[in-house]
Amino acid sequence: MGNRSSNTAGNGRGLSKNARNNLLGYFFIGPWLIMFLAFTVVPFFASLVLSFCDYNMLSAPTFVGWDNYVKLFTEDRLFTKSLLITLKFVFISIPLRLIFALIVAMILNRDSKMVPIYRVVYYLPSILGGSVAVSVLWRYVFAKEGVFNQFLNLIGIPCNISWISNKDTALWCIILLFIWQFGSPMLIFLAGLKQIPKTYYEAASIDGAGKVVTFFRITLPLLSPIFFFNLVMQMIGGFMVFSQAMIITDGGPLNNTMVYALYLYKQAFGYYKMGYGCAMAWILMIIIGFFTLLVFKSSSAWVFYENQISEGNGKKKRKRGGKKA
Amino acid sequence: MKAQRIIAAAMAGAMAAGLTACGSGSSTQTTTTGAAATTKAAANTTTAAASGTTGDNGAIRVAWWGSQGRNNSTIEALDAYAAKNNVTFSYEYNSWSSYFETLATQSVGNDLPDILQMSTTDIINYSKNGQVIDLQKYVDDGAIDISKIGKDALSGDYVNGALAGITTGVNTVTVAYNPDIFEQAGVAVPDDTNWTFSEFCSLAEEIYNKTGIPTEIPFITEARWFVESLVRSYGVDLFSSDGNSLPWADDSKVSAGVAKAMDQVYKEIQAGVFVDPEVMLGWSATEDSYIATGKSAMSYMLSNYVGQYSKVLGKDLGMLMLPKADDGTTSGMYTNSNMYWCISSNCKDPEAAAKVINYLINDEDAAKLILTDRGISLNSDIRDMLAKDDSVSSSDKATLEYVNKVNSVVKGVNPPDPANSAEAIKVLKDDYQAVCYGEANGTDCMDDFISQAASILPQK
Repeated sequence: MGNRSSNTAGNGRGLSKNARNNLLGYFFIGPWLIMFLAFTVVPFFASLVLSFCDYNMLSAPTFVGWDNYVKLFTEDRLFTKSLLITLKFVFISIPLRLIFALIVAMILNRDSKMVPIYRVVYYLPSILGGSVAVSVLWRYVFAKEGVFNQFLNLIGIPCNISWISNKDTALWCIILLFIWQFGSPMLIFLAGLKQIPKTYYEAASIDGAGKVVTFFRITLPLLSPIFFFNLVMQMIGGFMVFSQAMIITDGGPLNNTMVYALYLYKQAFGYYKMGYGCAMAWILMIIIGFFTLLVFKSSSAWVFYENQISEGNGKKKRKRGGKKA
Repeated sequence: MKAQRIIAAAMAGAMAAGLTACGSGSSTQTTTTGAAATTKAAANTTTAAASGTTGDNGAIRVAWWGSQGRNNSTIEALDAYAAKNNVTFSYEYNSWSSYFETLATQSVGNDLPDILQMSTTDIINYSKNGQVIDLQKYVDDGAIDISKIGKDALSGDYVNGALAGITTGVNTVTVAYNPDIFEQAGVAVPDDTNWTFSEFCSLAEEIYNKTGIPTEIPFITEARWFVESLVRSYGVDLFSSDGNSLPWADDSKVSAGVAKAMDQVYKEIQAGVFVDPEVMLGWSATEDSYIATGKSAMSYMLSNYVGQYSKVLGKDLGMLMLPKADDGTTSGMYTNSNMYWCISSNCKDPEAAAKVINYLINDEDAAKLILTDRGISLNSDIRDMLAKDDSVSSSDKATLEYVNKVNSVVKGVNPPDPANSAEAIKVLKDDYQAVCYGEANGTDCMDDFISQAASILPQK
């Protein structure tokens, strides 16, 4: 009996060790996998189908073909406006955020006992910035009688613009909040900076290179893969900006802060046009895909990997060697 | 080494905190389900189930949006009902911003709560798509008693001939004024039965010239109420009764009259008589507004907000009826259902739910708890009771009196807003704000609203 059972167990083990390992693996990623299927894959395809439907969530969807897409491009003024605002937002805030993140990362890339504390301090806005509370706070900071104007008055600049409800400055308030949340690209930059071997800098300083030259000739090229990664991630995040615009201005004044995701949300949940909202979401996905592809395609021109350099050196050495011989 | 480890841990902690912060930032407030009524009611669950409310432990699910004050008073009122009537409730209350998201999601899953608090803009969608039931049957069989309300008062509750919901109470619009500032400027309180928008503007100018105190822009964030009052002063409704058009769209007199009023608004903004729109749009709480802080003389608002603003001001604001358009022929005043109680098609025992609604709208004890929070009750007995009750604040009593006054001028309650109206109203709001910012004139605004509404409202 005992023998037999141990045998079968042994057989089972022997026959499917691979399968068992796989099964164990699936077991561990199971929770994620189930959630991923339920909350990403299924909605992903459902939204594609719904984008071709008239769907108000209260009754069954009806198929309308390309109607939603045609309407978006031909009738909807706010669609075009929100798209332009989002592009403006992304093209202004993402470069500034990355530059800011890089500058702070470089400042923090020093051996000082205070650095870890600063790192946390500078990361804090990223934690807080996405929250509703900070967006509400932002309203008060940039209101007419807000902290920002009081500060300006204190240092002798008279100012009584209501920044969040002025049609020209409102978007900048949101851009500023977005830039302020530079924590996660900063951490990634910092990790990248730590990866650069000190020997390069030592060699450069022996050769008499100044700080500016070392930055542009060593730091920046070696950091370009990190820059590439950050750019892609931040750009995708930038296109999806939502909560800040919703809470600080709710799209106003005069729809000048009606970013794409906010307009999509209003269509889908405010006006019961889920099908239309899905169509908008797919257009956004195509736009994000396009820009991501653009960055990927262009990357060969400006992203350098360290192994490229060593390969290059190797070739040069070989050539020199060849000449000598 | 050790320090690094601590830092790493701290960073990991920060990251984790970041993740949770992101989570709470993007997700909306979750539906809070109250504990099952009182202990006594919970003990009676079995009896309740036996009496017909099957499933969900027999609990009747009630959903509403609102402030903490409303949550408390509603729960207290329903708990009292539960204790007496051998039913249990489960409460699903939410903030306004996430309430309809939650409802829509629940309707997709056929999981709507039994009793729903419904807004005037949303009821049409729920009724037309069969998500809320026709309550006529329960009115006819007496489960919902309307003897003290009157059939006419329920005129605003019908969607395509079906009694889609029961009005929780009505509210209306008003020009709230600060009596102290009127006194300071030495101006008399105008006779509001027949005044025009130009007279309103000259009054604001006079006060501004004498005291330097401005008046707030009429309904800058809810242009619809401003325009509706003007349009109605020509004797027409804002939306046609079938909800497919603007009945005044082809009447150039109406749109020109509204456009003229809007141009006057811009003129007064330029002159400093009206508060700068940038300032007004920057306000986020009652406490920010000028009317609540004694810095403006008059403000257009909904009648049910007057109490709240008076409380912040520390003095009761006066209430005037809205002025009509200059060449308007009648009062532009109207009353609206503040919100409705509906029964979802998902409800297994509509009879029991109807009785709960009856309790909420007709019971004096319930009214004492809920007061005017959901609008001024349509039940005449309750109105009289509240007018005499000592626990009702003076500003609430003033609101009650004001609504009575408006009721004597207007007939019936406005019907629910038509389908797609939310989007059309948003267009109007944007256009009106463009006028206030000087980006467009009144005529541009009205032309655009009329043409946009034609394509947004359902065509049939």
